[in-house]
Amino acid sequence: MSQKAGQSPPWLASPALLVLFFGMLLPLAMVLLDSFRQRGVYGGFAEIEDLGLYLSSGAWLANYERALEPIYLKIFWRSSWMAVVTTLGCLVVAYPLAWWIARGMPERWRSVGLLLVVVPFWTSFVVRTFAWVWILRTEGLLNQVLVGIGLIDEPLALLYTEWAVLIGLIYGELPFMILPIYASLEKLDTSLLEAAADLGASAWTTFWKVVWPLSLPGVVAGAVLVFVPSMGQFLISDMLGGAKSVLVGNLIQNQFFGGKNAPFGFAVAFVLTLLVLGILALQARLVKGSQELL
Amino acid sequence: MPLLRIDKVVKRFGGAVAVAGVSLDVEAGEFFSMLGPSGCGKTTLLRMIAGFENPDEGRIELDGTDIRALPPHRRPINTVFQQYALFPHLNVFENVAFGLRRAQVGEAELRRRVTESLDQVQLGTFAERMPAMLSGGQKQRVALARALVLRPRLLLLDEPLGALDHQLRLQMQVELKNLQRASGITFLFVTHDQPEALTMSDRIAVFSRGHIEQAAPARAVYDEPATPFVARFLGASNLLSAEVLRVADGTAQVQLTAGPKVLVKAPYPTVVGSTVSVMLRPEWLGLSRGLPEGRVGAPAVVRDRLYQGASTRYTLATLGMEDLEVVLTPGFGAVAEDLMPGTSGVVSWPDGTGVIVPASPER
Amino acid sequence: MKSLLPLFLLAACSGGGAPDAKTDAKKPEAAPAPAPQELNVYIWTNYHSEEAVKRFEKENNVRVTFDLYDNNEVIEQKLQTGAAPYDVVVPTDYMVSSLVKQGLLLALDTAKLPNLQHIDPAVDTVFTAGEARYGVPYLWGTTGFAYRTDKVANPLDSWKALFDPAYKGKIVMLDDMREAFGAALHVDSKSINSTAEAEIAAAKKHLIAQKELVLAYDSSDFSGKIQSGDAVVVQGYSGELATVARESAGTIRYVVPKEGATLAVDNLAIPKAARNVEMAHKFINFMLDPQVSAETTNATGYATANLAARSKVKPELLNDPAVFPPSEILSRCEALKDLGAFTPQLDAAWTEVKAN
Repeated sequence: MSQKAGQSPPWLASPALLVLFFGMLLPLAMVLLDSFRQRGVYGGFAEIEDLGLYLSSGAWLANYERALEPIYLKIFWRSSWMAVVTTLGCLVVAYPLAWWIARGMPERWRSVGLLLVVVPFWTSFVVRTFAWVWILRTEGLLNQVLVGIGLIDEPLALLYTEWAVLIGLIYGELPFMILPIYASLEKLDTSLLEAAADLGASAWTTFWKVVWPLSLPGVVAGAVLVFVPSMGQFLISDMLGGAKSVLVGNLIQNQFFGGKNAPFGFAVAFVLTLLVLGILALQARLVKGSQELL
Repeated sequence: MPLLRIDKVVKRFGGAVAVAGVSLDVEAGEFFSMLGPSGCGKTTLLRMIAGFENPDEGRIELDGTDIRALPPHRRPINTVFQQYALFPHLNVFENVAFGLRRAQVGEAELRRRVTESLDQVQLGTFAERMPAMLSGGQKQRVALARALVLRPRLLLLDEPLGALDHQLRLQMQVELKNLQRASGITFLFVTHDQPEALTMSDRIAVFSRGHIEQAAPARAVYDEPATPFVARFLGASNLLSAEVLRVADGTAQVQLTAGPKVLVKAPYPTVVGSTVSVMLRPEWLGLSRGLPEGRVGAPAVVRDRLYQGASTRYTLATLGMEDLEVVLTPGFGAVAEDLMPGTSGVVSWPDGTGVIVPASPER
Repeated sequence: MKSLLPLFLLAACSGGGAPDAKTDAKKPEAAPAPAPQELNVYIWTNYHSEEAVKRFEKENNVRVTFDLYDNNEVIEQKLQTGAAPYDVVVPTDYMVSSLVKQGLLLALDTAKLPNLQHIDPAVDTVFTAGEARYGVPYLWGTTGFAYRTDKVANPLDSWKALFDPAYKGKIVMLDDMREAFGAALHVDSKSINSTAEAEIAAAKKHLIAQKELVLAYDSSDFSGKIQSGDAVVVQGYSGELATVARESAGTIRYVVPKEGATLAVDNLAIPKAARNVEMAHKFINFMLDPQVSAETTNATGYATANLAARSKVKPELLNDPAVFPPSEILSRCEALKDLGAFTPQLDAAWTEVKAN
């Protein structure tokens, strides 16, 4: 095969392609096929008696039809809504933090700042979520402090509410928002801020007209990194929400345990995947314009 | 009243003193340059005028009012940055319009002024382009247009030509000079390049280590430097020591320590009997085999010869120096014989050409 | 390099990101003499006596490794996918039936289990005489509720207490589809194994109405919540709640409600895919030994299925009606049965409850 000088031979990609194929594409294809089947009486899969009839009668789409029923659409809606709120919450918390690390602290402390953001995430996710249970309980740290300093008389019932779930979600995803925004802000040229001020922009105007637009690629990247996992979360709504709500993650998880309906679980998972891919496509369009700035 | 008055301004960073008690007046409508090597404090002073740093001591007055308390966005001063600082997410038009939008100028008026400003820097057709698509020279002109469109009382330029290639730089120097004359706006220009400062400026302040060594019109700074530093910084200076014999009305007769008795200019107070430095600029000197009529001089040996096209630079051993520089431009009446290295000859000049450079700073 | 640092850190975050299954935890036991055999046991949390097992290990030169879980469905999962090399599993009665129907359990060689003679027939609910035996009763209990005597006006004895608005925000239910529906069906005095659509719909309505009164659905920490006072009534398992009640000197009381409760008998069983069948049988027989059974009950607080062991059980446990309920209470209790094809409908109803 003729090759231009400097190009690597194509077969060098084969290990990666093999991993991709056997590790992702093939299992995904298998799971997709299984999502068209029905559960057996005791879980597992039901045998298909007549394949032709099964296909022509539309029975193979049963799980997908079910996944789009109102009760389940409601779950998708609530999960999307939670994910959006989580993303916005993360943005509000992460942006000032990222700014502070990128521009507010002396340069030699920056890696320390970043390390502090990341180190908690080297411990188990379950343990960290459980820490919030401990903080938000009626006799937890937060209530002890608030009652102790006299701000409130009765402890707040924070645990097992939607607020607790939101706090857990925002906390859990925070570094994924902080780091991309940090990367954007760190690259920001100080002279641009001085130029804006020089031309008559107040601090606030400089932020809106110069800093925000230039940090947008980081913000969008962070938003995607936060939104996508938030859609699939199930642990936090169980641990911090008292298992009182069903998000898409819980729905899928249930199908593989109590519900014993793996095919339906796969179907829901694929609907979720399509939803997320749709959002990623949207993000790609948003970022296209600012690609040159990166 | 001067447009800008700097009064005994001091700025320290940690233990180091960047600006050590500088006082300066800039008149309205002039092209004023601050010249000096890197680290001499000129950029720090510029940033304090713009408002990006605060002086530790001293006053900064614009039109008679102390502006130290004003934040940069409230000062009627604009800056052209060294790296241009164009907003990458806005096109050329919006970059130039930025300041006008902040001032809430009406749309029609804004459009008119921006277009006019772009035409002034010959970038009229570039309005839609993004900064990433511009060359260095074009970016520089956008930066200029962006600052000038606001008609500031004072325009600060922080080594704006540093990143340009030689030809472009020379061209821009002329353009800037013309722009300044045409707009009448006062330019305060920072540079470390002395030919640049000499080309463009009405007056120059020469900085060294946080002080001003001399602030004077360009010609005076070059021809009559007030300190040896200024003499050396503005070009090759050939400083020779001499003893003052007689002083009379702007001239003096001196005995060169390693040469003849000569007549020299004495623009600064000079004391008879004192030892002074006499400056002979390379282009004031001639080189020939014998001493021509009506000139003073001394024997010399050519050490080095460097052909430069329009002129030739010679390094001579003479007058007590091993490396006296002479620049010869051949032409009618020039004393310019092209002697090769190793040859002996005579370096000469018309009597009265040299100038005394005071040992200590004089204004 | 500067701009790559955040990327590296981002990658480092993903390391800790994947949540572990809530259910499993590894608990390796000490290995004795050279070349010991291996036995893998999959069992409920807090469900065996460590001392007794250590003796077994010594006597038989075997290393017993425990994996733990807190719900039945995961056993089924593991055995269905063939992923787990377990020699002994401990499913609850209805799960035994389900696993047998799926052909996942080995028929036990009763000749190797002489201690079977001690088992209380009253709790041997899965075994039918004349057929192969797949499970041996081990520990059993009921699923009722406990309440704080210091926080209620009158003693409680009905499932209706868990649906009472008077305890709003102080009710904890098990995060278990069968148990939650069981409680709701009991309120209507229906069977917990009902597959009648009308009955399920009514139960669903109760649960949906109850939702705003519920503090949390929790299958792991219901005893912690009633101890701390965060909850006033909690649905839960007898073993844990009885222990908590005994330690509370009267402030906490466990109740098998008058409408009835779930009777859960956990059985020792051997998966078809077990590697060490011989040792598995030995282990089961060992656990059925009266002395060992008594130790197990004393250690876990759950009732032993072994009649002969009763004389060696601590009096405080033996005499606790929460642990060893008298027969008239026992008669009100029902074992869960696998609902087969009806399960998806129940699951849909449960999803509706949770999603509201």
